[in-house]
Amino acid sequence: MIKLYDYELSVNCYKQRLLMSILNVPFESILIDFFPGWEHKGEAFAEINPLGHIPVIDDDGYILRDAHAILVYLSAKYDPSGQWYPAHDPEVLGEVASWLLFAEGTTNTASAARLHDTLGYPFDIDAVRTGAHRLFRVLDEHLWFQEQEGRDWVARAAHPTVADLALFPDVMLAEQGGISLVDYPALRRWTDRFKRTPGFTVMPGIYPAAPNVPARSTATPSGGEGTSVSITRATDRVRDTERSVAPDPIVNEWFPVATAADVLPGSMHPFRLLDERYLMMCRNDGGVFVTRDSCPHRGAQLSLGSFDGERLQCGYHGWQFGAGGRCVHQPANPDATPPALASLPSVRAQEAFGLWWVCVGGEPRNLPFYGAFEAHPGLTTICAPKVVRSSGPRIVENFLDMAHFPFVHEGYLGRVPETDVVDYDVRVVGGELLATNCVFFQPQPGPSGGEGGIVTYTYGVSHPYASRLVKIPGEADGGARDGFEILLVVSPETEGTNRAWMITTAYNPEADLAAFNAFGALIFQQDVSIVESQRPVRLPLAPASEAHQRADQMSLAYRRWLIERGVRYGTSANG
Amino acid sequence: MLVDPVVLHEWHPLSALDEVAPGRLHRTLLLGQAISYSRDLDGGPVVWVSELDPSGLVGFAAGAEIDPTTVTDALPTRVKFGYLWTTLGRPDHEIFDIPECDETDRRILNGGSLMVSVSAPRAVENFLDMGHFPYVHTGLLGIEPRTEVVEYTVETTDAQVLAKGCKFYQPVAAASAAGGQVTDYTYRVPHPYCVMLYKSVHADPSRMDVIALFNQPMTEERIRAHNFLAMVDDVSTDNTLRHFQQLIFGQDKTILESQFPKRLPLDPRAETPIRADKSAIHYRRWLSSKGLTYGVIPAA
Amino acid sequence: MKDLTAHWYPVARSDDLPPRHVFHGLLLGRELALWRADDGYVNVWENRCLHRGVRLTLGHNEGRELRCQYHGWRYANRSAGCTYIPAHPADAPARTICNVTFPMVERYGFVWTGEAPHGEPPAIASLDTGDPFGLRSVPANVEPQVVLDALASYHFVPSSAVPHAGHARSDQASITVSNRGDSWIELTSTHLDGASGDASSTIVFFVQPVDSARSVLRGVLSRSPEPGFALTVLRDHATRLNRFRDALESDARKRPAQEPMVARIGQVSLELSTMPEPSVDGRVGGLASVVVARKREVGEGIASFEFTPVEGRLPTFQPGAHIDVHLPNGLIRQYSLVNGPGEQDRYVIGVKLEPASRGGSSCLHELVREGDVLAISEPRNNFPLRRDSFRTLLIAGGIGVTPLLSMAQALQVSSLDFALHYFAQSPEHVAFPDILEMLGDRLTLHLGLSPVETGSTLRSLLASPGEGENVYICGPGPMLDAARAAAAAAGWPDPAVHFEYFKNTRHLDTSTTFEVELARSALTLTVPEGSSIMEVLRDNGVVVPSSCEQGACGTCVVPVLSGQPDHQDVYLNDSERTAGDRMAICVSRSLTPRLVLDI
Repeated sequence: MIKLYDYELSVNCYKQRLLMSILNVPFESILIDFFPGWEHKGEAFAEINPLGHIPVIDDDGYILRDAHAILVYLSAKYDPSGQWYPAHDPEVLGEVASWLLFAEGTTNTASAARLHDTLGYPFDIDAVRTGAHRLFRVLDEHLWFQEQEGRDWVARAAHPTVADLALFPDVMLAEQGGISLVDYPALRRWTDRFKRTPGFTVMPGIYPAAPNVPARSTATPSGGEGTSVSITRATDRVRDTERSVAPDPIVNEWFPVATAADVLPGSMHPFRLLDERYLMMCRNDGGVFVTRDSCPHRGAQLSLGSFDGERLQCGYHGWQFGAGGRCVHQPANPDATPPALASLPSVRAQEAFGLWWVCVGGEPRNLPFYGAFEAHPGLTTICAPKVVRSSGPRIVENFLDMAHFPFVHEGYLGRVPETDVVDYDVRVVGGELLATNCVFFQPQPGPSGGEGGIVTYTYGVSHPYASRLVKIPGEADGGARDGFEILLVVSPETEGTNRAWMITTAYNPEADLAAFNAFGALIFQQDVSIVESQRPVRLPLAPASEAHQRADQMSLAYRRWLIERGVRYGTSANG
Repeated sequence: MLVDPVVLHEWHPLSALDEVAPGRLHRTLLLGQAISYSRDLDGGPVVWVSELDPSGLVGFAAGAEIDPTTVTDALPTRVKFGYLWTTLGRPDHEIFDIPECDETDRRILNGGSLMVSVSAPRAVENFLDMGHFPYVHTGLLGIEPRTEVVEYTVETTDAQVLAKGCKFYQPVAAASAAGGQVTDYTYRVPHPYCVMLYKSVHADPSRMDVIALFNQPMTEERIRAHNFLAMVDDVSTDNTLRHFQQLIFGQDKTILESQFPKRLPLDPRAETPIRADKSAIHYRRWLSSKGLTYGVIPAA
Repeated sequence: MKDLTAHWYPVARSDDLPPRHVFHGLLLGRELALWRADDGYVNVWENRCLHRGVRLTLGHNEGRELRCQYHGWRYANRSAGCTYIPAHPADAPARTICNVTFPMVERYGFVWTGEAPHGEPPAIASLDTGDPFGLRSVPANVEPQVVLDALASYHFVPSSAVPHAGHARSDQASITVSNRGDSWIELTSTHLDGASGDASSTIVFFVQPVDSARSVLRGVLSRSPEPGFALTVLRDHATRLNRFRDALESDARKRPAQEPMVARIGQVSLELSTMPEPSVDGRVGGLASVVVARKREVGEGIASFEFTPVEGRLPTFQPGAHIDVHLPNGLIRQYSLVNGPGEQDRYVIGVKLEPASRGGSSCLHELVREGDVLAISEPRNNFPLRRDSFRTLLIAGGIGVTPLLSMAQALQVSSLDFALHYFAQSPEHVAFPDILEMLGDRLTLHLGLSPVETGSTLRSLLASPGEGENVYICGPGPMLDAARAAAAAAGWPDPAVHFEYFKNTRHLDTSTTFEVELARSALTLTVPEGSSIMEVLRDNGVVVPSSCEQGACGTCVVPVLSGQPDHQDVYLNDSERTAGDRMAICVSRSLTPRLVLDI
């Protein structure tokens, strides 16, 4: 077992305990009577480290000194994931090395100040404190810009590395050296994030972090089945523009939030989209208005108030809002004209394919292409949306995949041993990514039962969270008119919770639409448990992040298409 | 800051004697005054007021060699519990006693002296407190959900504050303990800045370990806390006992240094006591009744 | 010198407050702890736990409550009131233990506060009509007024002219001070190279006075940069602002150091400054007016009412607490709060329509509508939840589920082990399904059981008391009696069995006559047949707090010094009855000719 020459109050010894705790590496702590015994300065210890420093490790006879060197050794040797010391990625590794050197600086300043203030070490206290502040300013600014770019850690990796670990204790205990962290908010946030690393452990003076927001939030009793994950992005008007510092292009996409048949005059439809609460209202004259579900006054949820088809009244202070979202009455000041600032922001909405769609961003992009709706009037049916606890791109990618049919949809869309996915064609036509000539054997390709056989599909992607499937009319389910199209479109409440909408258009005027709905729901239900089990939840876009098979041609094209479209939400750009 | 007479005419600890190298100069601060100390070649301690800046050298042998016999204005000294004590005033009393230290089978140990940016009374009050065990010494001296502080009694005399019948559930009460237990404590404050506890010994219920904290007031808002142990433990090594004590003290340090104000407010309306704080309330009243002002914010 | 305490200042960016983080702020020498609760509310508190002065920024933002790191005291979102003191798990903390809070407004992407600010934060036309885009805030060790004055010479180019990769641009621009206020300045930059299209940008800088010689420069552009250029613009300003700050700091170091500001420490109330006696309820205070914000059906014959304050904030409550509701028909009724921890923006109660309603539930069901204003008491807690159990068993019958829902949510949020067993007539009679859904597998429903089946289920639930377990029971009288009997038979210690009757269904015997001596008031009174001790006291001008006046709530329990009480209440447990040293004077009487009470 690894032996660690150790002292409870040593920051550099703690770094080793912390890493070994995270990596789950067993070790034996050899306690050195550091203070007041100064055992590490004695003759016996000089044989282990002539410099008279701890920590030192002895890994089955391999003896290594110097805290940051030991971190490199332990992580390179004992972290099979390669995250903590990312030797496989030269750019990340370079940054890790650079920040490890930086950590030598924080050790020689911030941690030195702590030794001075606690044990009386003879350092120039003003000089080490000034030096620590100089480094912390650089680190805080770096971490702030990392946050702006959607990164949580000092290096450009989606996970912490030994560089974060080496810096963390120096920062956490800086206050014990008289170095206030009040000027470094990004630094304090980063320490909170680091404390939530699995396997994290404490040392004297460092306390654990509060539990993170649970995956399934309990904060909103009235939210119904869709409540989940983070609900804490601000509901404030200004805040959203803050977010736009690194705007995610996902905000410019359209998402369905209600069926047109449900949006009746006088009705309110609260919904969640992209981590925010919104509210759709249909006025008595049929006009539809969508806004944040948050009163501009004190942020109360407007949907808890009332709407009479003309005016929306907030349940908190009774502010009333008129047709265009303009505040028309503030009961506490009944005679005053409410200021323009008190208006509700308007969110774009439109009706298409029997659904109401919403775009929360300022530069709306296209709806998904779905010509079947108009080509076959009256033959479209909409399945009730289904909550799926996975990312939108994972759900869409599954929809594009045929190779799972014999295993997940056994007896319907496929069966063993007819598992062969023959090569198909992938190209982009008019902005739509198309997979054509997708051929597969299906025992029961549709609701009408009948004979199984070879079916031919076309898949299309023209929206990052949607896909359409065209079943080319064929002989397999009983006649040339039994082709159909399905549009799957996923509305993200959060990155990990989505509402999947599925609409089906039959080609046959006599088709039993209810049966199509039931069949689609059955197939989708079979997919959900598989999709929800996928990890990471976010779709990793880097080709090397997962293994692929030849049949995944469309999946890989979809991932590239997402990269080109700049989609980050629901994906991980890892690598 | 004027030093009040109570604190001025009191004995204060400077260092564990075994850390003072004969013939070598050591520096420290006491009540804002720079102090030097050493031992002569016979081991006798010498303490004197100096003009040397002690910054960064507190407790360290500064390297300089000195002949202590040349010191002319030496301050009074005492050696007790293995520590060197001095005074800047004229105490009319000796240092308090800890009778248990005379028991021949006790392990007497210097647990280490650590500096903290806080007033001495805040450190004493934290030492008297059990309610923080599950939160600050998680998994060692306390653990959630066993958080209750049951009623205990406090007796105050002119000489001391004594809290008896204190009980708390502890997962690892001491370096030698295995498994959780309800631990009995008695707390005693025999000196405005010194505090000790008696703690039941798992192996021998008839005896109590003694752990004391002797706080050296460097300034009003900065102390050097001397950890003293007198244990009935023949299993643990000195090293293990020291590590455990410093581990516990290191956990308290961050809390102590975050307290605002750093001086202990004696105005009852400055903070919110609960019943668990009975010993602290008595301690505050005891300091008030003595007229002590150094390291506290006196009640208006 | 102007009064800085009367102004609003930005103290954080809105995105400085991610979930479950406590932001460390500093304004005019006073440390602040800012945290955003899971409901989005931003709390701005003094960074000092009122117990022992420890920084709250060391503590945990648990989403609904802030937990101090020192002794684990919990403080509620919004009200900042203390909800739990772990050292005394059986007590309900006085709701008046409250951290010092400051007003808060979020505007232009910042969180604004002040010591005692007047009016509103500054309204700035260019930001109101624009699309504000915050720059990185930059701390500087320079006097706030010096920073503000120097900002007039801050040089920058319009966002459209910021050099970026491969597109070097001229750095020449003309800067005008287009507007300014007490603590802010607005600058407009126009590019001199007329080639670029929209060649002007406006920045507003707010200067946060951190201390006498410390500031934070908080800049915001009136418009977002073109898509894709945000980061370039941010980096450009960060570089310029760092240089600007370095120059100011270099000058500042040449000036004599200034004394830091000293924040005044407020006092706690006189009442809180003394050591409290053991207490099992909160405080009975005045009435508050509330609006019925929402009324909805949450089960067969069960209506929930959400109350929001007419003004100000609702007082802090603890799990198990109830309020008195003063009804339009003059009746006063007690209802348990079903709120989870930290839900301080509203109170929620559940009311079952009782067929034999004495006018309480039928009034609420039939007469009270959304928008009505009612008076309620401050929450009182006779049913406090200990959180030092290794496991907590909650047993509910019918509408008795309401206080247990509050407890269940508190236990769940704190990740403490518990189980809720809910006995109800049918699925339709199950109240608050939305809250129950969140409890997941902690909830077991027992539907449509006969009294015999209920008894046997209770016996099996209570069969083996665990070490350090507590059970809380609330429901109809017969079920409570059965549960208490089952618990006693299985060997549960009395202190581990907690129950709340919502009414006293026992037959009250008022046929006796006896004397009551009030030891402290030096009064001796005769209680005649047909009158209660409470009524006699009241007739003689002695007021004892009371609430239900039917022996259920425990508000009127007083110490007994001698004599033997005839307990007719359902509040005290068996060992308390046997001890005979406390009694509920609204219904209980005397078995001896004379009782001496400590009042």
